[in-house]
Amino acid sequence: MENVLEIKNVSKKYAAFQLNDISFKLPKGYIMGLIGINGAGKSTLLKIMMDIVKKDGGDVTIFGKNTKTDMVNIKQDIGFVFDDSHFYDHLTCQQMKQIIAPFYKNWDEGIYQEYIDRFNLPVNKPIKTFSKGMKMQFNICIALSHHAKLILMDEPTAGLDPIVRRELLKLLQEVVMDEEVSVLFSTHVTTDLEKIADYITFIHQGQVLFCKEKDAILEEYFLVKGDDSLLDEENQKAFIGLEKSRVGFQGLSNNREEILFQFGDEVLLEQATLEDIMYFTNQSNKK
Amino acid sequence: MLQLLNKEYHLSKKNYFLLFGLIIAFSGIFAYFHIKDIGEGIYIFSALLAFFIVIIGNMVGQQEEDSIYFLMTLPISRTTLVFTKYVSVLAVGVITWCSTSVVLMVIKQVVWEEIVKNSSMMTGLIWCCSLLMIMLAFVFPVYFAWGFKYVKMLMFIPIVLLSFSSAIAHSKWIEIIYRNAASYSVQTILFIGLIISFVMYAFSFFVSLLVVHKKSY
Repeated sequence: MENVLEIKNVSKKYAAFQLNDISFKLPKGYIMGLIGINGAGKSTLLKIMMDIVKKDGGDVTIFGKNTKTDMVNIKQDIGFVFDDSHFYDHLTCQQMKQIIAPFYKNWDEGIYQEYIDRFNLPVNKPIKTFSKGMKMQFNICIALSHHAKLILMDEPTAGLDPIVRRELLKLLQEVVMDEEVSVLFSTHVTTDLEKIADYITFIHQGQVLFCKEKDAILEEYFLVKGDDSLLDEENQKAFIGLEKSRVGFQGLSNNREEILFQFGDEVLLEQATLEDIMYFTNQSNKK
Repeated sequence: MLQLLNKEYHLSKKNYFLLFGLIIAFSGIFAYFHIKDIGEGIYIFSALLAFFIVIIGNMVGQQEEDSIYFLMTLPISRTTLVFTKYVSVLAVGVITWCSTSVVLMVIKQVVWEEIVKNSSMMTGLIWCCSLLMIMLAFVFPVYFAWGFKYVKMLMFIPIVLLSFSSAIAHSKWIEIIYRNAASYSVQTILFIGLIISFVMYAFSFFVSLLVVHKKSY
């Protein structure tokens, strides 16, 4: 399978946190979700890919080219969407487009107009008068109007209302339909990814905890629910994270054999969501 | 690079045309009332002001700093980003210089040869350009390294220096410079000043380039 993006042993150290030895690959034509709690390093990693943040070590290869030597050419085929608008917001969409379009060899005016019409964006109003959703939609218009082969999105759905969010997710699914476009999408709203992602990369405490197909992850991890009295020091080791309450315990595990051996049919096994995986992994590391 | 110059043009044109329009309008009023003897100082000062409003407001302003993330996603190198900034400022400087000269020619009803011969006019404009380049040679590296907030702080330096202006003017160094400079013509001194300002501007470019290449945004 051809990879559009390869991250190899990337590291970056800040005073408050660090990215350690990050490695993963994104195959062509798929959507990958980058998940992790706030401050896990998702945005930093995306910025490293775009050379906005300088990495301390490692390699980033996009379309088979190294970002160290070929960044300008690589960026011709990347559409980047920030979590916020960084455009000159005193300008209108039309004026902003006049500034951006000449930078791209493959700028497609027809597609741009199509998205502007689809989102019903006012072209002659300053961007600063737009709502958060409209700003995000304009961001997406720009990112998709130059036939980008890789779309990188940093928390695009954060703060959006459910309708705009759903529209955005639908659009992303349409974009990857032709199998030429790949999407890397960072978020902590994991329900979005359950709808559209093919792969999930989980960054936790500056490290990649896993990078797998979404379906495989949801098959591997499961929730265990049962009565508190079933727990002892030994069988608690089979859990990644565990939470006790008045009505019993619930825990996350990826060791089905061990759970069945320890508890038999006295516990209830349920499919875990990505949110459960994030939550319990984070809980276990707090201890 | 042309795309970035296009960007600077789109962002600066409104302010620039407005200020240039004001210069023309006032010139027109003076010309209409046949007030020829108003001196060049006001024009040179206007050009200086226009230049600074355009530069500080658009090219190293808060808005430009906020948009750096978006600029970094565009297919341009960091070198081009810095180079264009220096070139566009020079371009605005040259345009300001030319437009001010044209306005001077109209208002004073003189021809180009006379402007060149008129030393106070030429020297004033050259002095103005040199001074701006020297100031920007300090402003740009600060802007690229720490942002607009520190550029604003940099503006306090001339004010602080003014407090010591008397001490500086009567210092031994100034006396030596003055004594040595007295043997040269004003044009020679200004020409040397212009070269020094170009050298400083070029040096500043390399410092900014180094800063931007190392910087994480």
